[in-house]
Amino acid sequence: MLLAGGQGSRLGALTRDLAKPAVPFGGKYRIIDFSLSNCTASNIDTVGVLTQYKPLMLHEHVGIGTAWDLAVEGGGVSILPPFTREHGGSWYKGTANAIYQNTDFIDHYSPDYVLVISGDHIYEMDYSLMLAFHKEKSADATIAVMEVPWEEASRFGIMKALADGRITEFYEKPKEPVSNLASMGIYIFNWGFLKERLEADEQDESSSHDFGKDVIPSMLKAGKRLFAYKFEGYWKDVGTIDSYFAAHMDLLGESPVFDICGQEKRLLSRSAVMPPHYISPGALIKNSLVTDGCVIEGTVEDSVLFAGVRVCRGAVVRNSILLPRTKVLERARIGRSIIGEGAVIGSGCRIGACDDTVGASGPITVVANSETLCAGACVEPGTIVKAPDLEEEGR
Amino acid sequence: MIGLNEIMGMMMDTKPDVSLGELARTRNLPAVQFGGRYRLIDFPLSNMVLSGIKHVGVVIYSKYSTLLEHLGAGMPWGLDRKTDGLKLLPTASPGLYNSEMGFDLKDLSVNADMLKKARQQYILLSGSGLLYRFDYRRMLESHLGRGADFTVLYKQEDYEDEYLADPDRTQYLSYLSVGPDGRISSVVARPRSGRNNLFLEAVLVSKDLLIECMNLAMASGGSKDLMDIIGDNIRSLRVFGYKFEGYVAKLNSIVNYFDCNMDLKSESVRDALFYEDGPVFTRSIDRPPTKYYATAEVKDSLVSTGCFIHGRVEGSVLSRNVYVGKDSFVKNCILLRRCRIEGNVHIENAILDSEVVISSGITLKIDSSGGRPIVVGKESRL
Repeated sequence: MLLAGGQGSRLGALTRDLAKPAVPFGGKYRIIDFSLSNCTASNIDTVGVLTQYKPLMLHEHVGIGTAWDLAVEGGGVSILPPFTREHGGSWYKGTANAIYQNTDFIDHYSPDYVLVISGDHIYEMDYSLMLAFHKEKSADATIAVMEVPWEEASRFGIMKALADGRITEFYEKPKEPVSNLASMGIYIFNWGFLKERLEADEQDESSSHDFGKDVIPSMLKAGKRLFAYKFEGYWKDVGTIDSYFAAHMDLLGESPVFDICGQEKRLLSRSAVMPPHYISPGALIKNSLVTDGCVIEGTVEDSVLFAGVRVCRGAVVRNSILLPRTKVLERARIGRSIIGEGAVIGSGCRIGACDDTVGASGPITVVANSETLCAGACVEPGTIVKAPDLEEEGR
Repeated sequence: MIGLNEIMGMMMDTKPDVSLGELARTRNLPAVQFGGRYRLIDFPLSNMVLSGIKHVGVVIYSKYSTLLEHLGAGMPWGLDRKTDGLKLLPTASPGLYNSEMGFDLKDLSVNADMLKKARQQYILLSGSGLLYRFDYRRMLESHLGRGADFTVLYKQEDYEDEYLADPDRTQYLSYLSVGPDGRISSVVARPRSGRNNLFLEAVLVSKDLLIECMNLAMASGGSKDLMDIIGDNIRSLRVFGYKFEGYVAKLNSIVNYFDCNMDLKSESVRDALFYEDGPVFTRSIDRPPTKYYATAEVKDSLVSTGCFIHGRVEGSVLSRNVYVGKDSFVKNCILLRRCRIEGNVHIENAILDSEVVISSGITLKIDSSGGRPIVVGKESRL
């Protein structure tokens, strides 16, 4: 069960028209591709995708799951938005409530185990190893965990576990963390057990119907067998502009922190139908990822370019992310910025830290999807340009 | 107004595989790669589906494994349908195929049942050796308006003597004599100096007349192809030309193959082939973006996804998943799928077929003035 209803409000300008899992990532993917590809690679053939916030793009992208080899009879991908029943209906009130509202869907397949994951994270993981661990421990529930830097621990669900992985304490976003073992929001439950606990949680009027806040702590309190499955690898919640930017920079370099380009890697996605990209005689391109349909006439360094981007003559793009179909006109300079889908950066514009050739630090500048910046506009580092701002400035 | 589902498409070969030599050694012509990520058949197939054609027969000649894998059930072209859709058709002469016949009617005859049962009244036959973007409905409109028996697509091309002196430029192409009213008076194989009407290997005909031609060809022993029968009967048949004006990539020889790939470095050619008349659909392999490393130096090149570039690349076309190592220089080359150029290699004016490996330190270059690129066969290791 893939939770894909999140608004991702901290990504702000990038999620104005779509849900966070549908936000483009890594040059030719969307964030949800990572979880869906993990499912395929883990031989999971039945996936429910729970959607709620602005789901149009997400629905179009996932479709019937063809891109992930999930267009199969007797399973495959089912898109699960909230729906009404005889006595009305309601929105998904929390992660646990979203699963509860789809009890009939899960019962229809009557699985032994249910994997609950989120469509918000960038990582590569074989869930079948986690399931093997879950079975080996005869667990009621297993939570995938990783060690995070102590200073970030209070952003996560934090737990204490015994040497064999048995979880003894769990605190959702604690002010003073007792450990740095953080939940990755990936759970495996025995379905019969989970169904019982969700029904109980539904009756609890004080509950916010969230796995981390309510269901997991109550399972622990009831003395159930909860285990922590330690994941060692790259995992990133790209929920903020800073982490979204940092995750893209992690893809670059001789030996990248997270390698999506390796010979054996095959992240599945719905590809754009565009010709190969063209690098012109006057272009300069280094340490960057570029995909189909781009035309590069200027300078591009340490950047990630999505499909159909154009960088015109004399333009300089450094340490930046250019989302699909953005146009950077002549002599514009862009540094440490994220330029939204279809945005046009007028000729001679200066966006973000464009004189900083190192560009390793400093605030990130964002230009929202579909914005057009007039020739010569100057956007200070750290600014987020979206329509209301422009109106205020009287442009 | 013309009904939306009046035409059935029929893809047949019009040239022998030897026209593209080494590139068609392990695969048949429609499966030859072009423009980085495409195969030749993608262009006529995309034209067909964007013309509203939902029923396409593809005659599968020998060396078919690449083509079959590429086409699958026709999903990338929206042809995986319950009604009509993509039909893979056997050829009449598997194994012996390498004839010079254009639209061999024996191949239709072995599929006569399918043809007779087709619901569409008109058949659009197309080869895959000439690439262009066109809406075949315009041909049907002209066909009906003129009460034609056959409508054939052509393009006016002006040739200088020097161009004609190189037989590779015009080999396996056909030319038409077109009257002022657009009526075709003959089909000829040889072009002449000056203006020529290049036959674009697309023919529109009613299903009934095509079946009649097929029966005639079979009755006379099957040695005549469709163009022979049209030529033999040019006076009694109403054969009209439809003039195409736009870019045509001629893939009738290695030399033209090389030049047409290089044409794609021009934005106007890319616009004409890939954007103005809709996308060219193809099978997606889901390779990651192309990675340019800190030492990369790339100029004037077309690059597909999934490449790894450490070295210098100039004036070249790179297919998917190509590796160019450090301190290597690739100039005026076409590198097909999964080629690997290791470090410190210098290579110019070459076509490397899929999965060729050029080991460190090798220099491979010839004088470009002759215009003949070196072709390195599939999976070679130098």
